[in-house]
Amino acid sequence: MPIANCQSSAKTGVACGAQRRAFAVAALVLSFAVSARGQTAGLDRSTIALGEAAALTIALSGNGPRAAPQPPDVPGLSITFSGQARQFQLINGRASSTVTLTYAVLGRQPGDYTIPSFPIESDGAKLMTPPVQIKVLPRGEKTPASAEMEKLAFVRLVSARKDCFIGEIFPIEVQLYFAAGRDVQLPNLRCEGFTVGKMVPEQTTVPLNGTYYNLVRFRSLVTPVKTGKLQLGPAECQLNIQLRAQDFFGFRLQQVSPQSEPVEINVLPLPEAGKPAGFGGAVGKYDLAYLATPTNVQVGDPITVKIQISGRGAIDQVALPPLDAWREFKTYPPSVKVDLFDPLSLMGAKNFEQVVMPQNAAIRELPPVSFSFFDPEAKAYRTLTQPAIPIRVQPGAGTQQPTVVLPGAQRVPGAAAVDIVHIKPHLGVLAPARAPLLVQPWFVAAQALPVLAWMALLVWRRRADALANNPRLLRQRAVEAAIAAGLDELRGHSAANRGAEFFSTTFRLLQERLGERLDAPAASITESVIEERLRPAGVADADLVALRGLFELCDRARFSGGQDCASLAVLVPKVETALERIKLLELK
Amino acid sequence: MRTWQLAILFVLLNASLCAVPAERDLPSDPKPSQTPANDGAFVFLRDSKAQFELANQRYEQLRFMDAVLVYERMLTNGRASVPVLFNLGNAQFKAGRTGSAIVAYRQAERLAPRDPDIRANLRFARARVAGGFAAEPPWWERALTTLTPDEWTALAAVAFWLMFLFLALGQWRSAWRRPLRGAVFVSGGAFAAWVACVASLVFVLHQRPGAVVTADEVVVRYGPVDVSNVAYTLRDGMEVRIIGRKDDWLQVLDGSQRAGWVRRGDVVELPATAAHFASAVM
Repeated sequence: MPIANCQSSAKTGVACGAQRRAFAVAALVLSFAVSARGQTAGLDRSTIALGEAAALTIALSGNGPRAAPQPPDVPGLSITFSGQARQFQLINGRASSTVTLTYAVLGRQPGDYTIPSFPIESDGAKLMTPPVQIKVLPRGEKTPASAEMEKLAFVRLVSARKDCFIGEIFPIEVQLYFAAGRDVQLPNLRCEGFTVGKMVPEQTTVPLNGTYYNLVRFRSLVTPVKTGKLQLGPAECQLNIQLRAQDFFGFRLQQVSPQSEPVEINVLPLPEAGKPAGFGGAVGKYDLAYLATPTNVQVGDPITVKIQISGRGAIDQVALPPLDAWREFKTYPPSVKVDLFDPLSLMGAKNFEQVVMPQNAAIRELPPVSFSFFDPEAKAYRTLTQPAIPIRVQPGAGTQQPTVVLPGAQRVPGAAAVDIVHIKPHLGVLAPARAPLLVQPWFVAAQALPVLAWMALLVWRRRADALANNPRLLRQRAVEAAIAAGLDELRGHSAANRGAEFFSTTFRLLQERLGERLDAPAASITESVIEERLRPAGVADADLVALRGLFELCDRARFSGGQDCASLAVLVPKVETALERIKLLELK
Repeated sequence: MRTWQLAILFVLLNASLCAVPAERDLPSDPKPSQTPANDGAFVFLRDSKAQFELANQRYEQLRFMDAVLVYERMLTNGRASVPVLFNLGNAQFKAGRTGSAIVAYRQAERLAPRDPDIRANLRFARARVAGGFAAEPPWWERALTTLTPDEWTALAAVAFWLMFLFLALGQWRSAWRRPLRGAVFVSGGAFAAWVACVASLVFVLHQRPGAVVTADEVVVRYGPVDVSNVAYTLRDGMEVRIIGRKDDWLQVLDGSQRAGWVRRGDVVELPATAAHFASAVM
């Protein structure tokens, strides 16, 4: 008695899991025990095709054998152990266990066979399995299981053409019918000699032979790439179908891969007779449009030429018509944009946008554009021609051609240019190759200039800051400058015999110098500092006398009148000496 | 970012771009010297122009190999110009020597990396190489090669000078030091970034040199000896990257990252000087 229909074809083989089978068998054992000692044996199918395998399961109560027993050899069959499962049950406090042994039975010769009973040792007792019948059919013959499975899922391959021309694009449909299932994969289509486009799925429900089936249509386009009688298909779909209740859960899923019958397609070559010169291999039915703007330009100005090829066929493989007649124009690689009007890409339009530049003012028109294709319905070549577009080209102001930036239309990689950009007419600068800037000594040396400038200013700034933070030093420098200037004034006053100014300046210089030395305001310095500050500080008497003499002279001149020119000239070195002596004093 | 910082960035960019004109900005028709003392240069320029026009004429007459010879003669004395290299590439391509054409286009591209004609033809030639689509370089490499090494260097130099100018101004007037701090950072950052660009470009061009196959078919071997097994073959125009050298052999990496050794004479190494280029493509 078959336990379950587990396989649909040789392709699926013994795909069911041993655990699931064991569980199913165990359930059967619990319900329909066939032996008083609790052992049972069964096949998942009683009929298999040559090369297929069935699963033989033997269920035993108790702990089972220590090692899996080997069934006796049956000529025409190959029986191999494939697994063991154990199940424990606790019912009303009573524990029991069941062991399931699984064997793969492979049919090697057609015929009717009996797998004889063979001994199994379990819990110290020797048990005999019941004999099992199996039938092996010749290869390819449908077994009851596969025929049953075909009712649950099958595939058809439908082609729109039986006869076609090479390069002609036509739709096909892979139709997958299944009663209940899920996890449908994209079909695998054998397509030697064809190119196949993307598969577009669409699911509906249809009645067929009194049963409602789920129908998934996979639509696609194929293009034959060689001639002769070609076989398209078979198409194989993989899915999990839902099988009804022969196990504990009421249904189970099984992976199947139904295949369609192949379709034979006669692919004809394109006729040589009447093939146009500019034919580029396009097969289908197309229209041609041609437009250019602007049409009033100067030499070298860009003109945007738009060529649209639309219709039914391999639209994305259509190439721009040859531009052999455009030698008087500088051309750039065109931008290409493809608009598709249906999901399968059978209908669409390809837009070429080409920038051209007239090279002389004698040009009066843009050349006509022709496009040739083979119409498979009419079985003849067609050539579409759009007439020349009149343009007006005026002489340009410059000789150098402007750089043209291509319009922002999306460029399709690899499908753009039909030829290289033409040669450049101007020589440009023909210069010897020179070393890079980085290794040229003058350039490297020049980079030191800003650093040096910055460092010079940095040093200058540091010195200025240091001076600003030392008022004594600052005053010392200011006094030095004032004395240097004052001495010049003295000489001037002496030469001009200006006695009052001379002694006023002398007095001021003495104040400045002594004030700086004594760290006192210059205005506070009078003759009295000689006795009050200089003598206690240990200044030599001779210096004190000289200083006192100068102060007295200044006072006398201020209060009683001036000196003559000669005596002023004599005083200048004395003032200088006195100022130098004071400068050398260390006073605090 | 403050307005004045944006203004400094703007000045940085403009000053640097003005400092180094691109190839196409250079005068297209140089005037020969008018002084008799420079007769040599005068004659040379006049001859070059005549040669160039002769080569162009040969090209228009579809005598592509004749045009190739004249263009190459112009390059033999170490001088080069973008139009000569570009036209040489065109002539090579039309003569069916795709590899040599790619070499010429790449030389021209090195001088004028933003020239749309060169880019278009280089792309076209590469597309024609059977099975030899060069892998698209990463975005940063494409961005780097938008400018020449000299242009990147000039940018970095301008930023460097500006940075020290701002530093010096800050020393000159202490009150300006704080307002100029942002400008110093911006110019310093620009300098660092452009130095990194220069270094990266030098690395790309010199540390990872490429080569172009100029023979019809080149056998790539597993080892740098003639008896080594064949790893794969390269065809005319395929571009490879050089990863090693040994004697007269180059270890190369193709677009599929397959390594192998080829004889040095079977490929043209890039970068190549104009003189090297002229002798290599002959």
